[in-house]
Parts: sequence; structure tokens; C-alpha cells
Amino acid sequence: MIVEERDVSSMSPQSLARMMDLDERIGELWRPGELAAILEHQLSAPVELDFSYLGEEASQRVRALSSVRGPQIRSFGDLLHHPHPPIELLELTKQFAKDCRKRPDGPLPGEIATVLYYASIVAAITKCGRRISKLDHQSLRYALDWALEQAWLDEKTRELLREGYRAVDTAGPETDV
Amino acid sequence: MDRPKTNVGKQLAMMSADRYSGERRFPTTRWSLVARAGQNDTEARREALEQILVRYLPALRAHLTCGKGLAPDRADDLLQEFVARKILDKDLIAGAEQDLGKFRTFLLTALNRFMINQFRDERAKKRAPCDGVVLGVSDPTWLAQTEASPSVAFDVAWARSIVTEAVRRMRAECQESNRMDLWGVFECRVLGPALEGSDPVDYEQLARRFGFQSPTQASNVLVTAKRMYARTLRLVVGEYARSSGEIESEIGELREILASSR
Repeated sequence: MIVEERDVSSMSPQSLARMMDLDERIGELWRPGELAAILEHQLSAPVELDFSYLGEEASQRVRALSSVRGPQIRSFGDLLHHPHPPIELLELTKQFAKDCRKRPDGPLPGEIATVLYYASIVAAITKCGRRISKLDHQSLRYALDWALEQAWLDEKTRELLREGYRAVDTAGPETDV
Repeated sequence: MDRPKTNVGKQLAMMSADRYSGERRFPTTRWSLVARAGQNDTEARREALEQILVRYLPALRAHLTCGKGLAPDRADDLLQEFVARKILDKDLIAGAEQDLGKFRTFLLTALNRFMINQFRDERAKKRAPCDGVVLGVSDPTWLAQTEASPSVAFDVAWARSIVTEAVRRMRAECQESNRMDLWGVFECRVLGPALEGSDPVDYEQLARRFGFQSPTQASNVLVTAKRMYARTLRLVVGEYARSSGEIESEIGELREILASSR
């Protein structure tokens, strides 16, 4: 396959500067519109499917946990917005998001994995009254500040994160919420 | 956006299989082109010199025309003499081995000194007044400034040569390794927008065009392509930089100059 040669002689100095920027994180892999669509997709993705990489035993456990009291949990969205989400599923979600974040070439854009990570922590705080992270309040506030600034965040997730922010704010210094 | 419901967990586990093995090819030798241009093996020396000249003469020319205001014809004459008398006859590149500074600065300094000497010689021969007539330069302060001032035009043209070469090599490598998906994604998301100021092509479209399982896979391919480009860019700069530290500082310095130039 022969490809046309690209002539960079007309490239502006600013564009050349971007072409010399070797940091993968800079240069915006995803545009806001795309991130919104991916988040929507991820929140509607079946939890069971994404946890299947943990093995058959874990998958069975996830299936059992998904049939808790209240509305059935089919997707990550169902889980995060459930009135009584199983804490174990939230922990698995947090771990899954963490695994995705650790891999720059992972299956989820870093921004989405990060939101999923903090949303699971916040859901555990606000709906179960439990902390599933060792993050101190200040670090969590800082992370939630970042997440809430993202224009591509959907309103339901935004509200969940705001609730988490309020819970951390009223909990006082480093007390369990 | 109609996104395929892929198994992200499984994809996470399988990700390693699709990774391009570019990291292993990171260059282990530095300063290679400059070293070859300074050695005794006539054929290797000639080839290396030719590469250096083809790649970086446009930057030297830009320095003379845009930075110093010489007429294009006069700049070409001066460059021709510089190449013949300093680079070929006096073996200038071999001297770069002993110079502790950067090769880019070394070459520019050598050209500036050559230019000053030419200016003085011609002025003396023709008994011309000190008004820059001989070299076509109207600003009398030009001579004093020449030694000290690196020109932005030179740095921009130098960076352009590096990016051109990196892009050319990356495309060739993608073709040779039959990974035109890497090139295609890089072109649609990075190179095209940088050249044309257009929006990057949507990942959905890229997934359809190149047969990826999902838009996320397309973005992973972009990460791989960017790594490949970064490695190639370092390789090109590494041909005239002495160490990995110098490669990084050279790229960083050029990037800053480019970003702040208009």
C-alpha cells in the first residue's frame, strides 16, 4: 500500500511545537463530545461483562450481588445510582477503574476510568456510609473538584459526585463518613 | 453514538497482544550521523555529510534570508561557499566532536563566523563603505549582532526538518511493518489536524475505516502511534545529540522556541 507523502513545510510554528510535544497525555486523545458518549456507554455497559476478566468465580459472585434488594443491577449506572448498592460490587468497580487507569493503553480513556473510580468511592460513602478508599478528605475533594469541572460529565453522575463532596465536607477532618 | 458493547475487562487482559513493539527499537547509539560525517571512511563520510546537508541546509538558508535579511541568491551563494570551504575542505563536522555545545548551535555559529569573515573580506577587497552593500544588508548594526543572535527562523526551519524526517520515517516504518492502521490513525488524529487545522477524525469513523472492534481500540492505536512517532523523533534528533539527556533538552528547547514564535 502506497501512501501519499505529507508535506509539513506549510505547518505553522505552533503546530510544529505540538508535533514536538512527546507527552502522550498532552494533545487530548479524546474530545469532550467523545468522552460524554464513552461515559454514557460505560454506564450502560453490563457490569458482569466487564468483571469477567477476573475469572468465573468472580463472575458468579457478581451475578449474585447484582440481584440484591431493590432495582436489579445490570449496568454500572444501575450500580452507582442504586439506593443500596452492594459494597463489594463498588469495590470491584473501583479496582476495575484503577486497573484501567494504570494502563495508558487500557480499554477506557483515563478520564472515564478516573470518574468511574471516584464515583464508586462516593457511592460507597453516600449510600452505604462506608469508605472503600484510603484517600484523605482533602485529596478526595481535590479529585472531585477536577471531576466536577469536566464538561462532558452527565447530570446524574455529577449529582452523585456533588453529594459525595457534601458528605466529605460535613464529615469533618478525617472522620469516617 | 452507537458504540459496540465490547467486553472491556477482556480487552484489558488482551491489550498486550496488540501493542506495537516499538520500544525495543529505541536507538542505542547517539551522535551517529555527526560521528560518521567526521570519520575517515570516505564513502560513509560522504553519505553522512549529504544527509546532514540535505536535512539542515534549509535551516541555514532560512537563517540567512529571514534572520539576516540576505537576498535569496546571495544566501545561496554564501551557503555554497560555506559548504565547499568550511564543511568539505576544512572538515568542519569533524570539529563538532570536540565542541561541547549543541550541534545546532555549533553549525549556526560556524556559519555566522564564516559570514562575518566573508563580509569583511569582500568589504576590504572592494573597499566598500561599511553600509552592508556587499552582502545586501542595510542595517549597519547587523555585523555586531550576528555573532550573538540565533535567529528564530533558523530554529523553526531546523525543527521543521526534524519533524519532516520523523514523519517520513514513521510512514516508511508503518509501511514496512504492515501497520498502516497506525499511520492512518496518526494521520487522521494528529498530522492532518496539525497541517490543515481541521478537527481530528472521530474514533467511530476510524474504527469503521480501519476495522477496529471499538472506538476505544482506535484510541489505543493512537497511543501506540504517538509512541512510535516520539521514538522516531528522538531517533532523528539522536543523530546529532550526544546523549539521551541532550536529546530531551534539544526537543524541549525547540518546542519552546516554536511555541513562542509567531
